[in-house]
Amino acid sequence: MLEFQQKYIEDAGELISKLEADLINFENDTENDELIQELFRVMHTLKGSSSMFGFNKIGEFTHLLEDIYDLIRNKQLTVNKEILNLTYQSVDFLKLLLYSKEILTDEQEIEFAEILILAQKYSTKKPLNEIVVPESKKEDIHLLRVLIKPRPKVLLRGINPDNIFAEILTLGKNINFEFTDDSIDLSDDDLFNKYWEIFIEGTVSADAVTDVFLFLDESEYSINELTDISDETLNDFLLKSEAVDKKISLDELKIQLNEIITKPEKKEIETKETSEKSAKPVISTLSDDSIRVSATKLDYLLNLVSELIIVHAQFENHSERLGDEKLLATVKELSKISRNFRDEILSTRLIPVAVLATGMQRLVRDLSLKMGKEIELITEGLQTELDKNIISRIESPIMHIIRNCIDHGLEMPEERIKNNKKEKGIIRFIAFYAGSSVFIQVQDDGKGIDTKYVFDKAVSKGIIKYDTELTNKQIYDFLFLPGFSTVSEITEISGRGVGLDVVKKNITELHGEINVDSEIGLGTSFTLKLPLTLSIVDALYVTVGKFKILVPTSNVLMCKYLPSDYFIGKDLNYKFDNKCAPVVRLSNLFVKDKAENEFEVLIIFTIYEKFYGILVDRIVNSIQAVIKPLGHLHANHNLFIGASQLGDGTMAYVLDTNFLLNI
Amino acid sequence: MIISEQFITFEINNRFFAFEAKNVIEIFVNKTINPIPIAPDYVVGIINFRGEIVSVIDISVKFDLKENKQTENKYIIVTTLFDDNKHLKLACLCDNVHRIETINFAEIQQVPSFGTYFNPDFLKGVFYLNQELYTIINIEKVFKSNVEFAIEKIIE
Repeated sequence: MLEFQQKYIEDAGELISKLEADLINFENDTENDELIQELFRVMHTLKGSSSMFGFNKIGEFTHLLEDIYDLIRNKQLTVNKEILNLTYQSVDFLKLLLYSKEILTDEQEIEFAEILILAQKYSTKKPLNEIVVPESKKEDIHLLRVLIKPRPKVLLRGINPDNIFAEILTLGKNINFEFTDDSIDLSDDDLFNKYWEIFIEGTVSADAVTDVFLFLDESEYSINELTDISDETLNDFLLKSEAVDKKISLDELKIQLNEIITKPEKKEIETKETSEKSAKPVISTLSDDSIRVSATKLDYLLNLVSELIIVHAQFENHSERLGDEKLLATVKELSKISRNFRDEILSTRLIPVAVLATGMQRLVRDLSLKMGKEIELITEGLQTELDKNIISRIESPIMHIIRNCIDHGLEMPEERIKNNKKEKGIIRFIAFYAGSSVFIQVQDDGKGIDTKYVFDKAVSKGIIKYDTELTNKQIYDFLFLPGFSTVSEITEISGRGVGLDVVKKNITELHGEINVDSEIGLGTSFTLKLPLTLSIVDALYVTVGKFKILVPTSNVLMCKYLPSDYFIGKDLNYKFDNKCAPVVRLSNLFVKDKAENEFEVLIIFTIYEKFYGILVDRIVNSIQAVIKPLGHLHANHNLFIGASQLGDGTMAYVLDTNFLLNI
Repeated sequence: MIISEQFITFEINNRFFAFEAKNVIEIFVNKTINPIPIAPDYVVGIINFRGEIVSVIDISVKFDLKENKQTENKYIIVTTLFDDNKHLKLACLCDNVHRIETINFAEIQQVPSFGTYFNPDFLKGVFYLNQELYTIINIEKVFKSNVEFAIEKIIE
């Protein structure tokens, strides 16, 4: 049961995100009937599966939401800001309920109760409306005859007829439940080998009733509209069809059903297979053409494939020595296939940045309401793909940047008009590839960063002297210092201490970089440079003593052979591009005795536009390496981010160039 | 009813130890170990085990069994342990692997609170086999904790 629940949480999580995305679209186009239908359908599916897995609060809550959207769908309620806000709040609460497994703190309970009351207010507008509407248009009332004859073992499919009846009850008035089966032996093993007849009188259409039977097969129910029946004939009809003594009230029915429901649980294990099978169609309607695979499986595949490539390299060496042409041709072919294979496996881990779009849109919407700024979010390059791990780790930094842009960057509408700008501020999110990196830019067209203000702030904090001459670039860098807030008063939205320094830290941990550029009056732009993936890297294969080290090439500017006595009697630094680059001799860090080479190699890097150098013994060649984690004992290794197996089967360590920042 | 368990018995510096066999995945002889710079001293290096990097640990360092001079023909026992809801793999270096023994639960004794060389917290029990005392190592405890030496405090 637990694993089913886990599966449900995943699926429901997806549904809620879909709900949020649909909602954002809906807000922009409230007249779109298709979107309303979609919203309604998602809520309905969510409701159905939630009660099935014991998430009753979610079930009840979505039921209310569904009611509201049913009213909207039937044009009995018009959408307004309040309803939309309520729905947004509800989406947040649904997430909370789902991930906390419906365990809330006291505060949250109170908030939740408030939202529930609000939701109830809207959803119960229905009877009010209905009373008004039918009286004027009496001809709209029709009588539906619904015949339900579930297949045996319906309960084992997770369908609770109790819920179905309860839902029918909400559809209209004058509902009669009829058992047309004489032998109501509910302890019968062939559960539900019987049928019910239900009459619904009301304004509901047959279509609306069909929705109730979402989880039933079409052969299991039928809905007929009975026409030409006046009130008298209806009553007559009911009286006739009803064997009065057999009529069971809804409450009694519920009790009996509950009795049945508790019974089949004992048999659940035997029939698990069937229940799984029947549960699947519901899920498969959600995913279009994809299969959900766990990330560990992909990792395992990647492992296997990199092993394959290593073995292949050895195979190639041996066959070259043999010199058999046919063998060599086959090996070449194999090499192509295995490389393609690896690239494909790697690409399965990449997902488009579009997954961030919903969150961004939501954030922009919420903040624009809260701060009274009109904002438009423009996105470009959402199909750009990045490793899933990276995407999940840049989400909060990007949200933080957007929050910053909106709070500090964009001006209030009046001020914008005064400055000859459009009233509506623009936040632009752009993602694109460049080499083996992905660039993500977040721009605003706001007032820009006031360098003088930041400079004064830095002086007052004692970071620099008042007469220091700095470029704009250097001044912007102050923004990334811990505890450096430029806002004089701390607002709710930003400036709470967790600032750009944390953003920068997170991005640097991913071996990315963040830079800011700004123009007074025109706006500010944050640029994130990120690696495509964390599991593969282009690297220089170098040696230090007996150790083989891989130096990622992404930041390498220059390699130079120097005589090994070059630094004797000098400080360990090198003049590069007229700047002083500090140099670290790697062998000093982990080899006791210095190598007795005539030459050593200096590799110059750039990190955040500063230069650093390392000294190694020898460069062997440049390779593409699959990085493997070093394991839990070295999780926080200062120097290495991982290791990679070389063609000859030995291990090389991948250098974490960020270590230079911490020296 | 299960009344016995299988153990892999091995030797480090003339002392006898045992691992629960269910935790052991594979045993290698003379596999190349890649030393790793800047690592705890009980880590000998890493090996590539089926595409995964596994650290090789020298228990003799962790248990402070000095004079471990033998360097060739070492055995590597790859074990799996469950920590922090994850399955981790660790490899242990030892001088000699004996065999798989089936030991009845009744024969396994609790570690006395003093009188043994090792800290009882890191052991699962002891048993006698052919007059020799075998110590069952609790590998999860030994390598989860940051304790440098897993030996009992010397009582003066």
